[in-house]
Amino acid sequence: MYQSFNTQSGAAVVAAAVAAFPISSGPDGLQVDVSGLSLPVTTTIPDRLFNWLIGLRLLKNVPLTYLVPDSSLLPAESIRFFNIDPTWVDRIVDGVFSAANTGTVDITYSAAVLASVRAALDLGLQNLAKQQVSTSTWTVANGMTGMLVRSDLVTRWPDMIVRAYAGATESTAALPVLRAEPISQNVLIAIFAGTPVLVELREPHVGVRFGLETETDVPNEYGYIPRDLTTGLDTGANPSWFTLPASRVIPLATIGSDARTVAIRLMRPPYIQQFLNTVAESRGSENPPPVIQLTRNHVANVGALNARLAALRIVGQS
Amino acid sequence: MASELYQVYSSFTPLIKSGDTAEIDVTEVLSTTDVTETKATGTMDLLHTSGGSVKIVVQGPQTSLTEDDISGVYPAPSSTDSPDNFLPHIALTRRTLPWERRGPADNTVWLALLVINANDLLISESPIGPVAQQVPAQPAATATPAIAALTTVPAAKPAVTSVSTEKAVTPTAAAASGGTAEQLPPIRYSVGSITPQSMQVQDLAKSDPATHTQLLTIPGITDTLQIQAINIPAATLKEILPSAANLGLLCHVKEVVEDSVKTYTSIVVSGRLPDAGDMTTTPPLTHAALLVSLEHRDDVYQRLDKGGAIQLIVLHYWTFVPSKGGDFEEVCQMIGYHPNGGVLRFGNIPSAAANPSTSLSGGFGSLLDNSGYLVTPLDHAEAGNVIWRGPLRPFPPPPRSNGFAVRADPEEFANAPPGAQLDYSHATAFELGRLLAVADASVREDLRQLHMSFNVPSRFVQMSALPPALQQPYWGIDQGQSVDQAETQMDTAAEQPWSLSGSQSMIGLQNAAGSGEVAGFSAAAAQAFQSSVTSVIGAQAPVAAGGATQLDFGSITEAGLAEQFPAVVNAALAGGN
Repeated sequence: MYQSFNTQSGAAVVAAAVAAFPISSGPDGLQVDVSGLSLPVTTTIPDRLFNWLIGLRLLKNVPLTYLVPDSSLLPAESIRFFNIDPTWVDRIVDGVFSAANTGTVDITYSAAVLASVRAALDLGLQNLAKQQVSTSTWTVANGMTGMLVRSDLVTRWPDMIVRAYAGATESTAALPVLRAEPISQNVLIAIFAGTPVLVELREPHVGVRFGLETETDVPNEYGYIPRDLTTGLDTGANPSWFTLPASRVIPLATIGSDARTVAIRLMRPPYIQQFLNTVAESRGSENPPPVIQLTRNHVANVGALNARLAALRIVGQS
Repeated sequence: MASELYQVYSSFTPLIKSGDTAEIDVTEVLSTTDVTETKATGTMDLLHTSGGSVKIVVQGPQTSLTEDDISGVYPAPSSTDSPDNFLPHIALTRRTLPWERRGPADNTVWLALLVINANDLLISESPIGPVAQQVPAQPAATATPAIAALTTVPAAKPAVTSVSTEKAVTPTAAAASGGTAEQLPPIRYSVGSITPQSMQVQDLAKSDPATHTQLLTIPGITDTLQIQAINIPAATLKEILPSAANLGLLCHVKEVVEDSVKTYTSIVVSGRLPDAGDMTTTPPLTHAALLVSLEHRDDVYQRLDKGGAIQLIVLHYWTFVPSKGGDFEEVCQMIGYHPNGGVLRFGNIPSAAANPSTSLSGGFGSLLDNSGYLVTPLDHAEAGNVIWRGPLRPFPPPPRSNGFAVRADPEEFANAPPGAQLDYSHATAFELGRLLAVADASVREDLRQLHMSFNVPSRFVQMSALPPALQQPYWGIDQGQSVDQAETQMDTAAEQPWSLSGSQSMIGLQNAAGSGEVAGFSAAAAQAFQSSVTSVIGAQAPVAAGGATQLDFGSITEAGLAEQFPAVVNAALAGGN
């Protein structure tokens, strides 16, 4: 019938609690150390809040300007690999809980809850890692790393697939990719559990596609990928090149004599781009060579790069 | 690589083509297994044997497709970035569809996917018609373009959409009659839009009588049938339409096995690559992918050399703009080269460091130091030397702090000596968390719920242990009390809610022993306190045995109310001492 009532004054309660939670001044404001303390309450974090907080730990909802405070850190057509500072991210979560505090007593008790929340979020991230890779032994103490991609890749292939491995080949243990999604029209963020040795960007497989390889240094020169007609697998041989007429009609008879052969030879598998951390940074400020060699002896269209470079120079002069 | 397991078939030919009538012979045999009548063969025919035939017509899509008929298309409709070395295609849910009808010849498919742009619909003709064709061409060097020739465009032609400025070799009528040699540019006009027009079959009678006649010979097509049709110059069709024999090379069936379930899709691929041009001078044209019907269109191939334009029924179409932006591999590879940003450690910029010894790695210049702080601070309005870094660092961070921040504003910010370096990094992170929480109603609600569960002080007492003077009357009957007594008590309480019962002091000075004193508060001080309160609220004698203490609110004075609680306490303490 009656409300509980505390015989202690508010000051006494705070004094007693502060004695239990050592509070010190530091670069994070008042810092409360609750390590080794048995918590006075057990509580359950609502699922919605828990998932939201897990997202925060993965930098969701953190404005891009906090991640990349200067656009020069992520220029057009660039990829950057980074480490995540766990203390910085913990401070965001501390701030979230401070929003519900209305006084010193609240602060003290929320500090106690923060300890259990932090432990729960750590466990949640580890479970997320296990969902990705069931054999994962990653813990938060192993740290998180990630990559930012700002490129046409994101605009044109927003569903591209990110994979990470502990070794230099796909046969090594896969590392959980805790997050991989576009955060703007042309920026993608990926966060890995641990530090990968190999990272792959895979062209999304959105169903079968058909096309020809381009020999961009020879106008209208195209080719098809030689494939084993029984297994459909790439034989690894160089494409068979031919010249297309102005109408760009493909020479069906040259490609195959039956529909199955034509289909198999025109199929285009998804491309996989690999990044190895064992390879020192060597590119990024180089002018393009006359020919950028791609797989299967075909080359990239360097003209587009040079055109953009010329345009930038014009802008710089004006 | 895609991990799906699939098979490719050249065709899936149905037993009975769509629109064909088939006859099914039926035989009924009534038999018995009655052993008494069983013949040596095991069963015996009994009483009745009959037969007959059933006629059926197989139906299927003929002039249009529904969404259910289409599994997918490439490139995506209205997309602007598909590489122009990829062939458009359409995947159909009906695995037999391309082989369900007779094409332009026996044993050919009846569907083709054509890819066109606006240039494909231009017809180039002499402004003076057939007469000019009979006159020998004059040397181009003597040609003089004459825009006036536009007036010679036959009235029956569609509106002129473009005029070539190239010097043509077509002579004029004047030249034909022996006059001054003057050459006119050919007239180029478009025969229509790259997207099909909706019409009835009978509408073709005037615009394309040959097609109209041919269509009416096809079972299932009538004059009033609503169709979508595209008008394409015969010269263009001659270039882009696969031969009747090759039509089948562009149709196949894909069988996908997933979880032991087989799914079949028939696929029609275009035999022509889209054209993005060079993209440096002119933007690429919009292209249309048109799934056209060639059912019984023997006439199309017969008319390819006869000029003019030919109407084709379109079952489905979509538009897109191709790109020369390169495929996935090319875009990936290009990132590494100037002026693109490269693949680098966070903090590095794609240019060589002015001072290699300060480079983070690779000899590149950098905007960050090893800890991730901005080397050149961002512009800020805060006084003093402020440094900041975000959560992303170029190198592994130091061990995680086991502390918890409870306030955003560190003391040393306020008390820092002038010029001292202040690190705002974690303070901004903390404030960001607050702002994110406050901005989200669901987070606020969840935090409130969570807050209720932990903000419970310890060491409780029940209010029932409080002095009765601080308790409200309760609606119940005490032990030994009659109902009437209880009602009277309740009525009294209701009528005089501000009164205290008999021996109760409003100030509540009784201690557990009833000595009228609280710890640290002497009886004399308490008395003075009570007196002071009485003077404020204008109460009568504080304790009236057996009666109630009445509070006269009407006697409360402004001066009394102005007396502050500390003053009352001080007065009481002064009195007690």
